[in-house]
Amino acid sequence: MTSVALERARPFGLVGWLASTDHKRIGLLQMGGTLVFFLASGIVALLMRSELSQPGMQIVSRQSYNELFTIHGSGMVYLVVTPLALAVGIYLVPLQIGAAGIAWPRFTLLGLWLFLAGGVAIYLGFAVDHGAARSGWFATYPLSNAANSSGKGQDLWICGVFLAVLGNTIQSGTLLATILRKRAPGMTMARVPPFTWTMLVTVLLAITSFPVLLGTMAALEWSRLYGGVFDGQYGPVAYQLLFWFYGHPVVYVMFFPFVGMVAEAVSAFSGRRFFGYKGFTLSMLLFAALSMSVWAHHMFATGRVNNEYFSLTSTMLIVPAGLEYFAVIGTMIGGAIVFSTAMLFSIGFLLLFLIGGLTGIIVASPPLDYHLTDSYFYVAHFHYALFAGSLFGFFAGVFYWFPKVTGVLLRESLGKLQFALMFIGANVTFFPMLILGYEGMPRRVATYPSKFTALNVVETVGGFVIALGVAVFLLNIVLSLKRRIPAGDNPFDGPGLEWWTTSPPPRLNFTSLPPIRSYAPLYDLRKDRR
Amino acid sequence: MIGRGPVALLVWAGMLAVFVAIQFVFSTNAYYWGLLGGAAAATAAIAGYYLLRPPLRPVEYVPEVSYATVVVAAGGAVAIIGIPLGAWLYLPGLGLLVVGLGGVVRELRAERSAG
Repeated sequence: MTSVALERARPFGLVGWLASTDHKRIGLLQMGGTLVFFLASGIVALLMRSELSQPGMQIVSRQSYNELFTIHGSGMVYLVVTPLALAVGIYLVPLQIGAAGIAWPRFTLLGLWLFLAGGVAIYLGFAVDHGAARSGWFATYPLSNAANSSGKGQDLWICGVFLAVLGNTIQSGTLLATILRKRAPGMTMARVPPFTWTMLVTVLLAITSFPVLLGTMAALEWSRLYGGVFDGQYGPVAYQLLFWFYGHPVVYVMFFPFVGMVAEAVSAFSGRRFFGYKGFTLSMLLFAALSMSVWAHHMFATGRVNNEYFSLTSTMLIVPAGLEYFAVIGTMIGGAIVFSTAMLFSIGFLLLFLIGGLTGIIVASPPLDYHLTDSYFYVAHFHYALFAGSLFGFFAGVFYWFPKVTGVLLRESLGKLQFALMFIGANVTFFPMLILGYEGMPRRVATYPSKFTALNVVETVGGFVIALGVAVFLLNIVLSLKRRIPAGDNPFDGPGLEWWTTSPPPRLNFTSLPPIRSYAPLYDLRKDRR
Repeated sequence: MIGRGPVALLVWAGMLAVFVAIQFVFSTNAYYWGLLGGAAAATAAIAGYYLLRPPLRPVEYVPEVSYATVVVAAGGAVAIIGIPLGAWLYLPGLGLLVVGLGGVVRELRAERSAG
């Protein structure tokens, strides 16, 4: 470990937090920001589900509905799951590799504030003439041009997306530099914990694909102000090719870190080392490379892309995905499994993401995609992958690492209640969407034929059950912080270096380090003592 | 510690290059190979950069807070949001950005003189 010296005494209070270059504070602030945006996106989703509980228009106008689904999707992708994934990495990666801090801390702080400013800009759209953006989370062109999306809401959306993604890109650079340059002595790449490996491939995806979106957003704004960039015959196709080069890898940016969180939680609550580590790390690299190579499968229905190549690579995704599942399930087999809340969320993640993944293989086939494109089948597919999948992985991580971050335990009883509500709620909300989509209900509509009413009512009820689960989670956080049950430094016998230090960790993370001989140094230590 | 960390990046760049090569079997669309090939080249360049960088200094100074960085972010954000809204917003944003960058330079100088 490089020795470090603090520049000056630590300032207290709010200012000390808001301008802090401590990776733990930046990570926590970013998680707090994503929580606020998550609640905002959740309220927007409940408004949409309430509108859709009956055919016809009840609560909002058609234009407002378009704004709601645009801001809900944009909020979840640009302001919640992506920055949340990076925030967890910013907090945990230096701890897992035995570093005193993050590389280029000023840039990490800059990324946080750019992301927050981007979020504010996107939501400011509701306050201007003509309302917020309404062309979907990918700003379909020419729907998003000046003629079809008049008003400043779309411009604010473009600027907001640009700022948020710029912030995420900068933070990805600092995380990459941290993993490559700040590992403790003995922490070779072959000993980096599974979560940090997933963060490595995540930031590689971000660094190589996010700049394309930055350029595309700049070109889109230029096009709105002066015209010309995407106006030719191939213009809208070019826009989509550029957008989806970001739009598909970002799905994996929103997925890989949560696989890593589940891997760590499953290892700890199975009481054994993570199974198939080398295969897992290699398959992560392959998974990430494939996920960069499939982007135009979002465009099968345009008839302007090469179906064979993009269908082939999309179907191949099942190979590394299967290896990840094999490693996680292999860790459980033969382990002394403890069915803690973190373990339940991990199992929920595996089950629900499986539905998201398998429906993805269905739509990787162009003939099936032609039938299902722009239907509710897609809405179900990506909600199973991103909400039921990634966020379940996140909650597994929260219940696993909360004691490290705060020094106190979360209430297991409330956690299990939250899991039950969210698991039931997610399936009640999203499974009927598969049926509705197959039967022909299009996505992004504010009303529908009355034959779809029953399943829409079921989905709306499910949406409110999920909201209840989130309320139980917030209650658990407040209660656990108020009536504290001290956790100790390593309450779950975790294997990684982060469990070696105090809970919460000191400013420079470690006062000493154990010998590092594998990706589970604390297990090695325990084995030696026996 | 750098060690063989960048090798993982080179392996990944190689995998991307293989998928670029497979693309050519199906299509020569410049968007396809340009985007994916660009990603492979960028990753290889980043790996090269880290392989060539000298090791970290034995003692590293860690800034505790950086107010100037927050000013840079605020200035940059106001300037960008000001682009579609007009000079009344982006000019003050640019001003704030310059002030913030000046502050960062000052912070770095202070750190260097302390170190």
